[in-house]
Amino acid sequence: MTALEVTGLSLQFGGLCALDDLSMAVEAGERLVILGPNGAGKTTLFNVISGMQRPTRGRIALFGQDVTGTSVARRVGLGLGRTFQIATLFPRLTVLESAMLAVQAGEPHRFVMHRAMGAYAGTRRRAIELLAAWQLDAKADQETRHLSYGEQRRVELVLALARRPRLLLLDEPAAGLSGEETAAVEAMVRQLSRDVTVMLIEHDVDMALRLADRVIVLQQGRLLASGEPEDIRRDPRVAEIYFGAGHA
Amino acid sequence: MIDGNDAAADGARSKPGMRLLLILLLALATVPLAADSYVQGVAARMMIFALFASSLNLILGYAGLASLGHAAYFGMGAYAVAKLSLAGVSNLWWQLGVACAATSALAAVFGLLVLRAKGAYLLMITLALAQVVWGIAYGWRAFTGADDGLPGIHRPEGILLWDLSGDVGFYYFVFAVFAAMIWAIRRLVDSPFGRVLVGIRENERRMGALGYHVWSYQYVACILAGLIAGVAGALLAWQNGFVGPSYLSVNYSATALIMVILGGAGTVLGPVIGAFLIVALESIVSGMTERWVMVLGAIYVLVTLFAPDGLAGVLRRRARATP
Repeated sequence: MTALEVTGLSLQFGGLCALDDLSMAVEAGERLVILGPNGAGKTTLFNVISGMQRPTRGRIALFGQDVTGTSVARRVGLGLGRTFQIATLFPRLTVLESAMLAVQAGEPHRFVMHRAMGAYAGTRRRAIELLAAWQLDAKADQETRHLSYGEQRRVELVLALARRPRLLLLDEPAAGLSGEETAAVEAMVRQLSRDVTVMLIEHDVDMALRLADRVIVLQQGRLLASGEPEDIRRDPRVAEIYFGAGHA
Repeated sequence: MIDGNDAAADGARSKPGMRLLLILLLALATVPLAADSYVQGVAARMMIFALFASSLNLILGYAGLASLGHAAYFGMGAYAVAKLSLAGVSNLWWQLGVACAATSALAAVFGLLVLRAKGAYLLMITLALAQVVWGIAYGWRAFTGADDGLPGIHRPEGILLWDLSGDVGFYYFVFAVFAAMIWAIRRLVDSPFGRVLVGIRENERRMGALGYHVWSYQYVACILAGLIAGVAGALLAWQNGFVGPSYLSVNYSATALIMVILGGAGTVLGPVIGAFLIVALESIVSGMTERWVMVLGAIYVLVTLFAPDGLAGVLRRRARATP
């Protein structure tokens, strides 16, 4: 089954082409890594897939359903989850409250006004289980802003997992992390069940290639190369564009 | 695990807050027994403005939407009640019902426009819209009495044996509405809906990415805030027996804003305390000088400089400092 298929996707900002007639597909369960220099359109691609930006042209299908013009919420409902390049968390809420909000997003009582959120024991339990599964339960009652940066990146990932996405978009989950913290994030991605399809943008090329089943390389909004990690590593165009462009 | 009270940036669940609120309510309940009618009038005014400030706090403190035009709803509620009273409608429920309907309708329309803007633009558009309403009230002499306002408003008929025409009876009515609404707001901010608002305030993008329909939450919050402000306005119209364009003025909007910030945005009790202090100060200061607004401005500057998260924030830091 195809988890994601984009066809002829373009996004123009005035004269700039952030995405240029991009077509690609991701198989269910696949780990797809997206490489490319800064400004290649990687994050834009995630924004367009998740519905936060509208493409100028082209189609997006999630699990066989056309979602091109639909809302973010609808795509999340179909099984899409994502993280952001810059930590996108609830600084003054505790980790547990954040997790409860994330779990609650998929539950029918999310509009209830007359009962305390804490009274929904099921939501609370699922949030605690979620935190425990990713070794964050010790931090449950701390405000997110008081966590270390590495812990915050893990919370980011956990929030994205709360609704059990079938397609997970990870935007540089290890950016700015120490070696040890990067290993923790890599382990988390490795632990994910194969029911979850993962698309990963990552500047830590070694980690990315270790995780990848397949790699695509973007340049100026276009698909430059696609293949197995080893092929990509050897591809001279990729070496020139990506590694040779003076990019760290 | 410690219990979840650490998240008391939104102090609804804090126990000291609850205790303080109960003490406040007890004190308010005894005012007519212990104080003269002037003090009683000031106390009623305190509760009315506390309600007004609390309504603004719902969108400002919880949903993170600033507004410089909240008086539009307050004034709308007051004018609705005034027009009905002057037209001979003396039934409480009719008057209150129409005031609620009118203010929520206004908020429903303004919400559509306001939620397109963010940050400073949000302040500007809310200010502009409120000024439009103010302009209508100020200019349309035949309907609103223009700058003369609408004097001679009668308090509505009582409920069963509860007489609202006398000052004591009306005071307890204000007290009852105030207590009920603050209780309802407490429930609301702790509910899934209220927590989602806080989530949106903290990180709108993340809430969107989690699948929440951010706009609908903000929109409903705008309408609720408008509705509660309208109730407060209706109470003030009854209390004073008069409505004028000043009820809709930017002066009132800004006063509510200062009350919320002084007390502490995003807490249930903060805006109540803020409103009580400002109203008390106003009744003291205006006896001495004409320059009340200047004093208010000075308070605002001092609070933003020295206690940006309000008195609630100061108290919370104190509580943490003492083991």
